[in-house]
Amino acid sequence: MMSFTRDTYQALEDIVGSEYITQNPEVLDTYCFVWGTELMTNGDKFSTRPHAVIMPETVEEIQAIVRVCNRYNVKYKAFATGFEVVALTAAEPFLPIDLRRMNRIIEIDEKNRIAVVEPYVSQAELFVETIKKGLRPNVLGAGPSASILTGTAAHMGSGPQSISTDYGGRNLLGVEWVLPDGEILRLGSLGCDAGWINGDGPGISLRGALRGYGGANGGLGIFTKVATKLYPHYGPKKFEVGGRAPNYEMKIPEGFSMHVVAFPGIKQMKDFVHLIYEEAICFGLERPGMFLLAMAQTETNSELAQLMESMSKEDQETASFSLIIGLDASSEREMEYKKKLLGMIIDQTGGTDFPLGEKDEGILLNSMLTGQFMTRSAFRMTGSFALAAVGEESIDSSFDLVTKAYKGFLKDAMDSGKILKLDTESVWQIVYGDGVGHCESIIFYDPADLESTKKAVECLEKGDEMVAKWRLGINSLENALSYKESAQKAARPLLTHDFVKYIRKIKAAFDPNLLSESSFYVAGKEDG
Amino acid sequence: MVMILEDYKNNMMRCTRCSYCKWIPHPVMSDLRFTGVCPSIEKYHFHGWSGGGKQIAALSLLQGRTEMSESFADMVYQCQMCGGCDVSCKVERDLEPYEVLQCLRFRCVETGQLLDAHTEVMESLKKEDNTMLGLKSERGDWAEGIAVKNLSTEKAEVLFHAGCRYSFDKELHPTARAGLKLLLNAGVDVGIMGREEVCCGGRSYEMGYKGEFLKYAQSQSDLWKAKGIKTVVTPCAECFQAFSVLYDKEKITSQVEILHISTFLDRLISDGKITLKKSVPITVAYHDPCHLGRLSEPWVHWEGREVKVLGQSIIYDPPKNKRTGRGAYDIPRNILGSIPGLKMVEMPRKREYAWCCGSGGGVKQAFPDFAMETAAKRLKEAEAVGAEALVSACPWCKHNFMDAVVDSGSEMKIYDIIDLVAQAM
Amino acid sequence: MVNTLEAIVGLGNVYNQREILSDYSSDESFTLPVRPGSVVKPRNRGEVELIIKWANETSTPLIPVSSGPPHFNGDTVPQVGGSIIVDLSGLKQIIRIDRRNRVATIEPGVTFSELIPALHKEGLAPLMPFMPRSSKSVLTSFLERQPTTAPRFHWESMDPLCSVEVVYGNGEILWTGSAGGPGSVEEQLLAGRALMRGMGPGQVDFNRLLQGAQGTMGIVTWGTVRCRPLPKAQKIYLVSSASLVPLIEMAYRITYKKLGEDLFILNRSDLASALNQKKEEIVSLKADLPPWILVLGIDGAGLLPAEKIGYQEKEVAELARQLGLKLKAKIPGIDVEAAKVLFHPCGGMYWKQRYSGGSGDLFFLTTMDKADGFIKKMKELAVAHEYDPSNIGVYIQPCVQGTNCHLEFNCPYASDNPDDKKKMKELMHQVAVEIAKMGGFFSRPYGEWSSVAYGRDIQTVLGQRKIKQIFDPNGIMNPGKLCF
Repeated sequence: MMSFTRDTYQALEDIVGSEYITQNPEVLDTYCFVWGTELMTNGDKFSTRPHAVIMPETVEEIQAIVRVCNRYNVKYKAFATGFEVVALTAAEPFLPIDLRRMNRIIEIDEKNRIAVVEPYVSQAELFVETIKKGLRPNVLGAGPSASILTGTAAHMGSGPQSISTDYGGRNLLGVEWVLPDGEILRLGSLGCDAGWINGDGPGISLRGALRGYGGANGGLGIFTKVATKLYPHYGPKKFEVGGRAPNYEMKIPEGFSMHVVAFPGIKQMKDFVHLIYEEAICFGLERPGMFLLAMAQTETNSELAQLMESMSKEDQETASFSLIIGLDASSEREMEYKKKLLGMIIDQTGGTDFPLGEKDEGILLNSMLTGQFMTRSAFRMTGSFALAAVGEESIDSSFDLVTKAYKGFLKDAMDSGKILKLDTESVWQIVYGDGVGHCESIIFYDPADLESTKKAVECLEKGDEMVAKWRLGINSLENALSYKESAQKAARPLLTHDFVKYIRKIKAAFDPNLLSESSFYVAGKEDG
Repeated sequence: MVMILEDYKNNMMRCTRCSYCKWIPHPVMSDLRFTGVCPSIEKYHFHGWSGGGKQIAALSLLQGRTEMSESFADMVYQCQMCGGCDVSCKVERDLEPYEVLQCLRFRCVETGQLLDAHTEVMESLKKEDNTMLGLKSERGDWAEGIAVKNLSTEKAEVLFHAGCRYSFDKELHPTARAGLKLLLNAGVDVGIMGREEVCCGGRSYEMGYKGEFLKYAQSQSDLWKAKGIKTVVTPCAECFQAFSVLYDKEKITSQVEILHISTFLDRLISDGKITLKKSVPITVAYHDPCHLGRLSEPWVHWEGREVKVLGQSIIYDPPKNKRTGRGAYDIPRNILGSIPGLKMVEMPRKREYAWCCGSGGGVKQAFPDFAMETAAKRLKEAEAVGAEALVSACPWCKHNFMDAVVDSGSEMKIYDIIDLVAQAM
Repeated sequence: MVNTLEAIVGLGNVYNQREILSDYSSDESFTLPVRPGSVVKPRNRGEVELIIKWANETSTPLIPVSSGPPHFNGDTVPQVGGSIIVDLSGLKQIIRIDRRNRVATIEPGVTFSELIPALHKEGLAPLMPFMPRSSKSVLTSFLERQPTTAPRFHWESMDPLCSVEVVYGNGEILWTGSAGGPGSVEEQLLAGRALMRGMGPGQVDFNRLLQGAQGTMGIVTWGTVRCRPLPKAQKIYLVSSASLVPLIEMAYRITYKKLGEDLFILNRSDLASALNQKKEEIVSLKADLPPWILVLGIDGAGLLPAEKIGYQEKEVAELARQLGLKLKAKIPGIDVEAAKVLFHPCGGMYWKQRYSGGSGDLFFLTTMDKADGFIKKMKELAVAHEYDPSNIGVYIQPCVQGTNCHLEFNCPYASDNPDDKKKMKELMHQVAVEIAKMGGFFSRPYGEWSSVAYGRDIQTVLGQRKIKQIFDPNGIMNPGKLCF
């Protein structure tokens, strides 16, 4: 039973060279600290220090690393932009494989609207390159720095454009996958020398083992290239951006129209979403919640706090019961039709379309297209946020979950003062291209404040319990954000048919040595 | 309010590893070749070298998980202190990465983690009042033959402070001389301190030697007062930033107006005292020096505390100014724009998100390869936009670019803005 | 055996008559006929469970079949003598239709012909493959990843399948996707869910391990499928061309601008067969038709049906003009009225059989820009095998919103002529090999396509066998298919 020894280090250094591996503790500590770690470690910002960090450049190097890990029984996990708790938080030491050097856009097939990317290509980078060709990628709410590969293959992803670009995991086509035994599996059409066009087949689709609703979060080998769908972009090859830090202003070009529509209540908002979904006229739709709207307008948190304190409960509710809608069109007549239709749907559902100035439209467009302001919205207020209750299924049930979570336990948690206090639902919601709704009940806590962190953990645990009790799914994005299967454990007694054991079997079949770090996947064994 | 490393602990804990600090602000990305803002992580790869990485490393240090060591100090010092990470982080957050980086340097020096190259510089400073390892007696030689007042013995309204780099770098003497002559020919009542000029102290501050900096800053301030100086003009962006920002930050006050030469030239052009007549037919890209750009935002003092409202929303009482890189970007461009025949092209990374020249923070001294590689990348960026020349407004930038041209075999011409103005006269 | 099976499914639901067994022993493909041992028709999931339990105990292969004949792909033909056909075509319950969420949950025996009127009553219409035969099971169609004619609604290969209930070869039951729970189906529906998220549950896509399986993993006993809103009006457009290339370009542009709903391309051979029942009519129409025809349907659904059709029609007409084409309501041989049959399940004889009785079919995934190259190769090989290339039917179906396409060749031959059949088999074999070499992706590897599909990446085979081992460890589900 080997582990991380001097020999292990030497074997790894022989692969990448001394420049690309380190055991310096000050560097290692930057690989066990990430957003949300403190939620899993009783408030400690650092989880277990890794053995070393290694930074390969090629798939061959990755294969060699995985083989060394198998030889020496060392847990490992691939890590790209790493912007979430799943990236680096672990209970036991492992070897983070930093994929920063794998940052190429391999191919953009303009005609067939497919891009092939390496792990470190960010949403922002792919966006910049694809809009030059009249295309855009699926951009997740994780924001512009997040990896494209993570959203499609390894983790999960929803974003404000999901109504026109669908769920992250549903954008995945071919994959180059280094299996936990070090072999390469070329998924789908790639394995048949038919290019990257399709990740399903031949026959059954191993894409189903690679990921489910949630990704394996590094628990099932390493993806070194993925192909992802691209979508039509009817705008300019480059957006005009003015202003200066911190508030850049995207000029809203021809062919785009942004709207903020407020509703008198949940029922009307639900009806609106159903209607507009069926009409298929928007490129983006988002319920940003009260604070998210305000975020975009302010330079500092002090300004925002002032604004929020001046808002009455009614104001807050108006903001909370609002949707941002983005229309795009490839021609004037198309835009005319879409605007008319939007107006009709708003009237029919009792909505109010707020007049927006060009500057505001530009801000909202920027946010919707690029995920900009996500970090500001999520982190600036209190330092961090977490998703207490998450749901993804019918549009109506996703709205209901948010309300239930607020009334059921979040309002009390907010009233305690240990998390951000709002007088209304704290929410982010979108709809996917297939008509499935997604909702997040968001709590804002201060990671530098142990009491606040503890309250956040309480909310997560309550969310795990209640989402299952309400029969509204399994919390934490069906385990994609669930540390050591916490949400699954809350839900498992209520499952009619246990699916978890199958995921475990698949894990064990593909990773018999159980070395692909699985803190946010499944343990290979029931008791593990 | 003087803040030490421990005072930023909450900042460190609120870093969420979003990695924005590695990139220029996302809304302004346009060319995939030029989207990074942090030379350190591009060279040294691992997260610890990024602005955010050093926040985490600092927390690790404060929590006793790591110790200040040679490798830790290397990680701290392999950074030009360019401030790019700070601007990018603050697009979305209210954290202070730059201040943490600065405090880390102070901590390195306090704990004796010194770099030999920096020690050498500091010895030179102590002995010869300059960071260039030159002799104090030779400091004024750059102005030899120019009929200009020596303010050791004479009086003038305006002090032309050349700075250490211009004073001792013979390759750059022509630019310094040209800058002074522009003022003289415009009828400005200007003088120099000659061999009595001393270092602004800025480089020593950046390297972590706060004590030395304070000595020089106080000494400089006293000198201006003693000499009745009303205006200090400097062609060096680092000196400009030291005088206008660092002195104020460390509460070394004076009543003197501090100007970078570009601002002064701009005024002279506007007043008609300088007329740009000759055509300078060249395509140039302007490089925003960090110390004239994002680092030169005026310091706003704040005394207060962090408070929470709405439960956990973090604000400051009283409200605290957020430094976001409000520097001097337009004036140099205006000047270039008014030179007949000159065509300006913009690089993808500019203004508050400009790529660093590579020489700041003590990197040129301690890690010359790193400084060179950083500059070489900037040359590539200028080439990519079709520039024949790269022009900046700082001798450290100019020198480092010149070194990179030689090293890489690039055909890029390197100018200071002074050079082009002089050519247009 | 028969007694045991009768005890499970009831007297009268086990069939051993020679003629019936003969019907299941072969299909319209070139698969070697093998007689099953029995045919059983379970009436509910409980009986399916018991059948599977028994099959495990007795090591008896099971072949699930949900559609009625004729079958074309060989997937329902046993590879092992004595296999039991589990015929689910009698499970015809339409369990629920959810207009608001645009989904329907159905049993495997429900056909498109049966589903359509039920959906119409609720203001919905199905997403449908091209002219499915009247006996075609909806669930089987989507379990086999058959492409639908409306690429706009086809976000990815799994669509439009959502949650299903499956009894695996190991005898265990699972609800896939969001139906995974927690809670019973009733509890979930009461909570407002709709069994409509096909991914998951958790970090495995169980649907993907069922789709394309050709019955080798388990038996699906109900499934939810996504539907489309029923349009108040629908306009059909025909665009003809002597060459395929401009139509391909037009298809790209239509999908880029997200215009219309239904979109596909047929050559004259396939179109003529689709529109006429008798050979002589087919021949006559084929002579009139242009070589290539793009068919576009724009749904007038929603709040402004006429305006939607109106503006989209103008957009498409402009696209056509740019390419030197014309949007028409009538082209030589047909008009849009006649073309309406293309949007319905096939009435009468299945359209592929109308010309000669037999059809050598081959289909695979590629991208539209490569279609022409594949078609040229197909014709070249046809000539080499002395098959008249003008008889080759071609159907191009843009999939996944136009990012790839299903390219299908239909080669009519006299099914009652053994020589013709033999030649067609040889031709199809060589075509499969060459198409694979050219980069055609046999994502649905029926019959001998599996050897070309699986011959290129051993890790795919090993990986799939691991999955098989988990869900059907005794290998009772349709052995001999895929790589199992």
